[in-house]
Amino acid sequence: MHAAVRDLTDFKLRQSQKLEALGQVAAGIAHELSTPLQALGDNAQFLREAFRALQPVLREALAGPHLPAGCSRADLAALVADIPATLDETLEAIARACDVVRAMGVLVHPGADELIATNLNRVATSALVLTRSRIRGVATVDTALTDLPAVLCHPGLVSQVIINLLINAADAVEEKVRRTGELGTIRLATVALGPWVELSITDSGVGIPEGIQEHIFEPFFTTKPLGAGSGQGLAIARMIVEQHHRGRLSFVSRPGQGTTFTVRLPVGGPAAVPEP
Amino acid sequence: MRILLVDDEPMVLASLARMLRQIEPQASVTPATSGRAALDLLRSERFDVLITDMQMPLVSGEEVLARARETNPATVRVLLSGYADLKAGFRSVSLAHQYLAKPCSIPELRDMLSRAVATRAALGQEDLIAAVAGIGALPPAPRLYARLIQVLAKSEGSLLAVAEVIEEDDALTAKVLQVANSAFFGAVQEVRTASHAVACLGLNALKALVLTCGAFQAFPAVVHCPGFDREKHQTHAFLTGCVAGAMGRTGAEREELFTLGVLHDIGKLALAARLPGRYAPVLRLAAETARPAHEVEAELGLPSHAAVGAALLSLWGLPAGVVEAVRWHHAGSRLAAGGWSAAAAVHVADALAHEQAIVAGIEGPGGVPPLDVGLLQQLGVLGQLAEWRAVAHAEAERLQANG
Repeated sequence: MHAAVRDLTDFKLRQSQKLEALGQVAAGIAHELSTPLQALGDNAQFLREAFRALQPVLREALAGPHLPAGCSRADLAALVADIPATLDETLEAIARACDVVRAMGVLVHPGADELIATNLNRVATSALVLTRSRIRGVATVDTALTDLPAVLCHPGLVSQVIINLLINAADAVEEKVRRTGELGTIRLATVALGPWVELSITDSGVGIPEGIQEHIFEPFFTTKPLGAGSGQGLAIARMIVEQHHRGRLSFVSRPGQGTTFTVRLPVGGPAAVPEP
Repeated sequence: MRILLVDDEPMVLASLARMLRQIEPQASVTPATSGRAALDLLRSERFDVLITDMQMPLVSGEEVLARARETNPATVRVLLSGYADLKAGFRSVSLAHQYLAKPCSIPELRDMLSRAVATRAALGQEDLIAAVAGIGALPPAPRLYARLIQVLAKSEGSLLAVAEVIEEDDALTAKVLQVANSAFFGAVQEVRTASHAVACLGLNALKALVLTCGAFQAFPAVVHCPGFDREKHQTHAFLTGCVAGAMGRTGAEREELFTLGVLHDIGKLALAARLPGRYAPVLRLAAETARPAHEVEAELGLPSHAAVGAALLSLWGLPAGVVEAVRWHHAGSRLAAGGWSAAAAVHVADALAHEQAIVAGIEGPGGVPPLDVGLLQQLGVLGQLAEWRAVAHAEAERLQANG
C-alpha cells in the first residue's frame, strides 16, 4: 500500500475509534445525568406546588396584626414575592438540562446507527440543542421546520452531519462578527419535496471564497487555523449523505454574504434511489 | 391506588414518591431501595402499579418485573430507566407494559397512571385484570409467525417484507406498536401503523426482538379454546383491515384504518387465549343462538371483547386514537352520535368482512348483526356502501385464492 494511503487509512481508523469512544462517554454521561435530573425536576415541581398551597397562609399572616418575633414584615413580603419566580427559573433550567440529555439520546439511542424511520425535525432540533453553546454569542437561530414524513435513515449519522454544518455555520458567522461586531443569523429549515426531504442551514457569515469552493469536500482541506478543525468534517458529511443515504449535500455561497448548505435525503431510504 | 416504587437511588425514590402523590393524592406509595426488597414486598402485599428502575445490584429490574408478572399478574408493570441497555431492554419488552425514560415528565407519569386506573375500571374483576395484565405477548397466527421468522432469518431481508407479514396479524401488530411507542426507542411521535412501527425499529432490532428474545412469542403458543380458530381469526382481522383501509381518503389515513381493522378483535384473542374456560361458553352460546359475541359476553358476565382489547392496548401504551377505535367498534348508538370516525369505519368494515365470510360459508349466518342501514345514513356514508362491499368481496376472493 502507498504510504500516504496507509497513513490516511490509519488516521481514519483512529478517528473512528475516537468517535466511538466519545459516543460511549456521551451515553454514559446522559445516563448518569438522567437520575439526578429526575430527582431535581420532581423536587422542584413539588416545591412549586407546595409553595402555591402555602401562599394564602403566608399572605394572611402578612395581613394580620402579629408576626412571630424576629420576623420582619418586609423580609417576609419579599420572600412571598420571590420564591415562585425562583422556582420557575429552577424548573426552566432543569427543563433545559433535560433537553440536552434527550438530545444526546437521539445520538446514542438503540438503532441510532441503523436504518430506521426518523423524524428529521427532531434530529435537527436535538442538533441545535447540542450546539447551542457554540452558536450563542455569535448568531441568533431562526428555525422553519415544516411537517415531514418519517425518513428512512441512520439518525446518528445524520445528526452528526447537521451538528457539523451548524458548527461550520457558527465559525463562518463568527469570523464576520469579529469584524462588524453585529450578531449574525443561522437559519435551519426543513421541507418535504415528494420523495425527498431537504434540510438547509443558511448562515450570514463570511461565505466561501470562489477559488476555494471546489475544494471544500476534499479530505483534510481546511481554512481554519491549525488545531481548529481537521478538515474532515465536510468530507465525512458528504460521505454520510451521499454514500450511506444516496442523498445529496450541496451548497450555495456568496463571499461576504453567507452560505447555505442543503442536505437532501430520500424519504424511502437509500434503497429507494437507483444506484448512481 | 397502591404503587410499589423500586430504585436503588434514595433521592429518586423520595422525589418520585412525592411527585406521584401530588399527581394522585389517593395513592399510597411504597418505596423499595433494592430489587430484593421489591421481591419481598411483592410476596406479601398487593399492588396496582409497579414502577421499577432497570439497573440495580444483585436483583435487577428485569427480575422484579418477571417475578411480578408471574406472582402478581394484575399489577401494572412499568420500567423507568435512564439506561438503554439494548439486551436487557429487548428482554423487558414482554415483561413491562410500559417503558418510561428518565428523566420523565409529569404528563408522562400522569398518562401512565390514568391508563392503569382506566384498565382496572374497564375490566373490573380481579381475575380479568390478572388475565389481561399478565399477557406478555399474544399468540400470533402460527402460519404468519413462521413466515416472519423466515423473512427475518434471511440475511438480505428488507423492512418492507417484514412489515408485510407483521401488519396482517393483530398479535404481531399490537406488539410492534407497543415497542415502537415506548420511550425505549426514543418515541416522540405517536406510531399508529404497523409499517411505521417496523420502520421505526429497524431490521436489527426486530431480529434481536423476534429471533433472540422471542418477544413476539406467547406461552402457551397455541390457543386452546373450543370455538376459537386462530387462523380464521387472523383472516377476519386482515379482511377487516383491507376493507377499513379502503375507506381512507389519504394514504396515511388508509394505513391507519388498515391497522385499526386488523386490531379490532384483539380482545377476542386475549379472552380465548387467557380465559378459555370462560370464553368458550360465550362462543358456543353465540353460535347456538346466532347472536353476536359482544351481546353474549355481557349476558355471561364478561366485559365486551372490545373493552378487553382496548384495555390491553391502553396498558401497552398504544396511542389513544387506536385504543378508542378498538373500544367503540361495537357501540352503535355512540358511533351514530359521534359522526364519521375511525371507530365507525372499523364497525362498518367488520360487518362487511363478516358478510363475506357468511357468503363463503366460512361462518354461519346470524352470528353477526347485519349492517345497520340507518346508522350508515346517519353517518352520511350510505352512498359508499356498494363500493366498500365490492372491495370486501374482491379482497375476500383474493384471500381465498391465496389459500
